[in-house]
Amino acid sequence: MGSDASPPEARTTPAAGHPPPASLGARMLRLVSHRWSLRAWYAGIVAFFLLMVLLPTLYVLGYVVRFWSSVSAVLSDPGMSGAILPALGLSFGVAGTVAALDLLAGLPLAWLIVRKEFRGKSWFNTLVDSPLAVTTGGLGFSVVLFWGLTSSISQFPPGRLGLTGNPFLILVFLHLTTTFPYMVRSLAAILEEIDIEYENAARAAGASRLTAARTITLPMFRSGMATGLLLVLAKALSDTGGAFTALTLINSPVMNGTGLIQTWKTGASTALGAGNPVLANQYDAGLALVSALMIVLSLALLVGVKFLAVRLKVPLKRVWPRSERRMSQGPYPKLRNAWGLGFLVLLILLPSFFFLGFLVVATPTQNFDWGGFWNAVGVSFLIGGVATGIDLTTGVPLAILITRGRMRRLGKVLDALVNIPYIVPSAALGISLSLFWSSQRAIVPADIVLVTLAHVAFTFPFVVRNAVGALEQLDPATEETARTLGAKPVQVFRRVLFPAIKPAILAGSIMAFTRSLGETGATLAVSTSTKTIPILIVNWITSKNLALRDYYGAALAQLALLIVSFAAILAMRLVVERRRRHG
Amino acid sequence: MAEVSLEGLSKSFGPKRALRDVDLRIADGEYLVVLGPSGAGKTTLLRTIAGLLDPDAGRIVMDGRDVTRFPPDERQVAYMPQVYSLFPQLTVWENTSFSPSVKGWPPSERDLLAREMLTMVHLIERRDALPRELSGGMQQRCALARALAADAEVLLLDEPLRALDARLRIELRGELRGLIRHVGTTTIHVTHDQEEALTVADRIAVLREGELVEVGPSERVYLQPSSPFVANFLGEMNFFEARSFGGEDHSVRLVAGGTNLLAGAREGVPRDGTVLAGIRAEACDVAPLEWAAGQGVEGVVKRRLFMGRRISLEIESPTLGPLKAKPLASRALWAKEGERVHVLMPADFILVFPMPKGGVAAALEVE
Repeated sequence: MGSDASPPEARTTPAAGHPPPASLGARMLRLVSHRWSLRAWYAGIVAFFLLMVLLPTLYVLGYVVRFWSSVSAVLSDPGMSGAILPALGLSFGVAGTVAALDLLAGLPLAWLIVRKEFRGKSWFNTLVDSPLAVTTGGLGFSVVLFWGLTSSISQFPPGRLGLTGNPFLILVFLHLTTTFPYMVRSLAAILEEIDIEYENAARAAGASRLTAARTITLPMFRSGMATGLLLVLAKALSDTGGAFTALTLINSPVMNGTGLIQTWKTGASTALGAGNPVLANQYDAGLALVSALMIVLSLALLVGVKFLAVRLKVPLKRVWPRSERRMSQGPYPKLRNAWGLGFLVLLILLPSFFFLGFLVVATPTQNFDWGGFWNAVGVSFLIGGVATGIDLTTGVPLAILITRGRMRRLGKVLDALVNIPYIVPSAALGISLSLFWSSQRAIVPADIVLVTLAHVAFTFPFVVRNAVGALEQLDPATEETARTLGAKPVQVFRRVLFPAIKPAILAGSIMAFTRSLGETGATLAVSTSTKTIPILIVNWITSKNLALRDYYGAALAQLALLIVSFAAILAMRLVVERRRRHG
Repeated sequence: MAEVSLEGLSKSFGPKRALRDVDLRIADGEYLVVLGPSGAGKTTLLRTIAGLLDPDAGRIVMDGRDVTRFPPDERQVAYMPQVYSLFPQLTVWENTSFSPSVKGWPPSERDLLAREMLTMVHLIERRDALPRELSGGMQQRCALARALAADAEVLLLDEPLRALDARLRIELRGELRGLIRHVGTTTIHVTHDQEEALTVADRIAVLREGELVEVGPSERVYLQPSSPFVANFLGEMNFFEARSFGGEDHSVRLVAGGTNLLAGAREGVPRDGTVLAGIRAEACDVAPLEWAAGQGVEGVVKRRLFMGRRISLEIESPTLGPLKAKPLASRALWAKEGERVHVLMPADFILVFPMPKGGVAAALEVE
């Protein structure tokens, strides 16, 4: 090079066969950048994913096949086998109904959030997300308080509707609150990506607002709708804490799938305590069967929705110019907004936070167990923190392998497999995990470690999905250029890749952390002694011994947790907003 | 700086053969332009040299050292992709000092080099700006500064001017050439724009469907292309079939459609037989019929398109069929549609080729 500025003595030319005497740091860098080191590292990551996430998740399927004799004993017991079908029907029926309602109300709201500019928009966004901050157990209590006919609770805040004691309806009301934010988020995210110019072009060509939106924009975000639907279905099917709480409070004669798992789990431990291992065994086999069925059905749902999203021509090609024009003007758009907003307030926000009123009207608990509460907070944060840490250290490399790996097919397969713990109901996942790990008790002696591993399995996809999304946005040419400029793979990651995807990773880890903080089903299924806050809340509300029930304490604990979670969600929003501004 | 040799380089993507047995030597400090239509394998060639793709066969040798299996960061090759790929979260200064910094240079020397490069591309004032705050031209210069600051032996430029608007493109290509000549780095520049290639190149290499079809100094490739394809790719050609007769040492006589024409002789072209003759549209002048200003054919102007500096004429000749001429506007304003004109075909610009075996259309086909 002709410039005088180049210091030839500093030039690193390891290729020349005479590497300059390198510092320890430089030698380490060369060692970890070696082709074989990288391969070993990635192989380790894939092995971790397969062994620690995927295998435990699907372990129960093999278990059912292996111990078919005890499972068939369950089938021949009319008391148990008769409960399975109605429970699964209830679970899937509720999930389907909720998904459809969410889609109908989520579309106008997502539209409002993305396409309209109004003051306080970011506050509105936070408001839509806010039910996520309440544990599902808390939501179950709050929703029954607002909608339910119940004899379990004696003091009610004013303004409650108290309309129904029907298990199906109560579960629908409950799961609307647990799922709606996911639907609005997914729809808004995709809508944001779709250039408004398509719609403008259609409008300039003479289409009315409604026609343009229906025929041009809607078909473009079929995949977004599929993502939203899957999230909603998964969440509704997974929920244990909320469903179990709500069904217990209304004294429901039937259980849904996760409720059944919870009931039998209690049954098994009671039977074991009473010295009846045969009955306990039968319960265990029943648990395995229900879990396996739920896992298989959810996977079928995953494949089905993905398939339909591609094939189904949802919005018709036909156009009704006159009526659609009329529907685009006058009171109709206002009606559409009113429907979206009314849905949000009446069906989501009010029921979600109705328990706050209970704190005002109810008699405070005399000796609230603050020690137990703070202990549970500590346990929850420890598990959430460690699980998120493990997600990060293994999920980000896996995302890089999926998007940047040389073997395209392996990437695609891994990408699809990562979705599995996402959609599998976490209570079923918990049963599967506990079966898997209980056969490995020697390796994992501590209950809390087992719970943490379970949390890794179902929070893992959040980090991977977010990182994959961000990596797909990033042009690989950027990293390639960095390589030709002399950066080792490790340096490319640290200086180029990581800074660019940091906001997405952070958002993913906050999602994983809050999910872990609020999770009930898997924790209950795995643990024997570990108590996280959601479990504490569910226990206080659903205790078989009515004297031990402490609704006020549960509501108070929920409020305390709410404040903590809200801080986390706000932080996430800030990060996402900043990324958008800088993007 | 280094001398680069490519020896029998081949690369396939599934059934598509992107590079076919490419042999090429680039001298130390040379500025080589690889020219070809889109899909000819230009980017594949660059990425293979950069180490971002592994060739299926062949070797890449730099200064006598076989680097074929070296990872990109050990090749001393700086690659500047079409989209520049400036690191979005780093400032102009951090982008420029990226390479010395990852190579572990002492800070004082790193800063000295970054400062010199940024001064050279006139961006030192914007050192604290982020890439997205720069105009397209500035981004291009910043990417160039970053590539030069890598102190690499070889600079690889993939369509470095493509993302710029037409005016800036013409302005910057002169500047680009000047800067690189000043630094003296061996450079391989890839483009599909023949004018850009002719302006900046020491030598041009023409790539067609992964195959190197011609390499030479830019003037020779333009004036004496070895095949009808290269001739046509470097400028719109009028082709016609002709019979050749003896002629003098340096020229050959042609008869085409009853018209006698004289053309420059070349090796490999039969002096007695059927040949493919051609002349570039921009080499064809027009003159009023009565002037009889030189060799050429008669014709009627069918369409006239005023393009500013030149006028594009579609002319129907009774002897040679449809012809295109692009004379300078200052000399052809009089030629209106329906006008009978004399199309001048100077002997120096008539190119003759052996008749292509697969037919003329196949010989010119671009993918």
